[in-house]
Amino acid sequence: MNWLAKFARRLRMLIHRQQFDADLEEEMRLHLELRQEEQLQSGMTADEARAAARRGFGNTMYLKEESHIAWGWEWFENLGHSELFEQVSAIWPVSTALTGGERVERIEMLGTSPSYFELLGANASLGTVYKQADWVPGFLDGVVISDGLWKRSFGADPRVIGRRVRVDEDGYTIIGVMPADFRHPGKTLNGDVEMYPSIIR
Amino acid sequence: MHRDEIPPGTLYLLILRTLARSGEMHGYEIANSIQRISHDVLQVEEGSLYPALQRMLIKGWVTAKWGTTAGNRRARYYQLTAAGRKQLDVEMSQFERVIGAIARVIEAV
Repeated sequence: MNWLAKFARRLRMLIHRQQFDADLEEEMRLHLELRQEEQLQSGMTADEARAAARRGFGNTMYLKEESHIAWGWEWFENLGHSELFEQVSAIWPVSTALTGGERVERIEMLGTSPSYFELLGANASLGTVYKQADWVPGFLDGVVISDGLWKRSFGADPRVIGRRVRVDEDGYTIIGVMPADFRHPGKTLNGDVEMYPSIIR
Repeated sequence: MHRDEIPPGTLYLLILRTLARSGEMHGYEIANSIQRISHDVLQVEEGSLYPALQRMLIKGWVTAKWGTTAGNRRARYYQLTAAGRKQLDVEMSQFERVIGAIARVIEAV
């Protein structure tokens, strides 16, 4: 997978955000309507069918929110807030679901370029961080986690290095844990960043 | 009828395989096809389907374009790219490896 093509695609979608919103809304509306019709045909009343179709969808607003996150709008909206990083290191914060720890939980994740930790002069307190030299076209499997997540979700287990975790549909291997006092110096979504994958993958 | 949710990690595989078989499909057709072929055992939550399709667009595994359904409604049709076909092979061999391993574990005496 050519990362540049991927980046261009993402950027194009960001620029056409309004169109994208309208498309997604229309797509979801069609889905609801088709489901409703199918259920009407199976003998439900109109009200029952409407309720059942919506149940399948969960919260429509929430769903749209998730789709934005998939495209990385936040990263785009944050441009300009922490200029140093945008100039030298692509960053992309998302809120996402982590599985592989003690429980499934919602965490804040920051997609970075492979040079992120070197630019900050930061190193892991356990394991290691990825470096620009690790860059390979396509995929960077290693992910760095925060001290907070390590304690909360992995019981501060030193054997966490090498462990596989899953974030939404993507799998990663934990390669490092940051020191307790390490914070992402730029803007975040809700709180502290707990996972640092490289977005060029 | 009880329907199981899609096991984590297999949604990409199911979508890729469905599109490889059928050429072009909109989201609802993808969900229905998976449900039908699995004899109603696998249910794709719409809340997972559309975010997954977004991620697949980003990854370049699918392209999407607007078209018209048989019922004359506008729908967004997804299609596999060459990268998507390649990914299908990757996901298939991963799946077979994992399923084979699980089978060996549960069948071991």
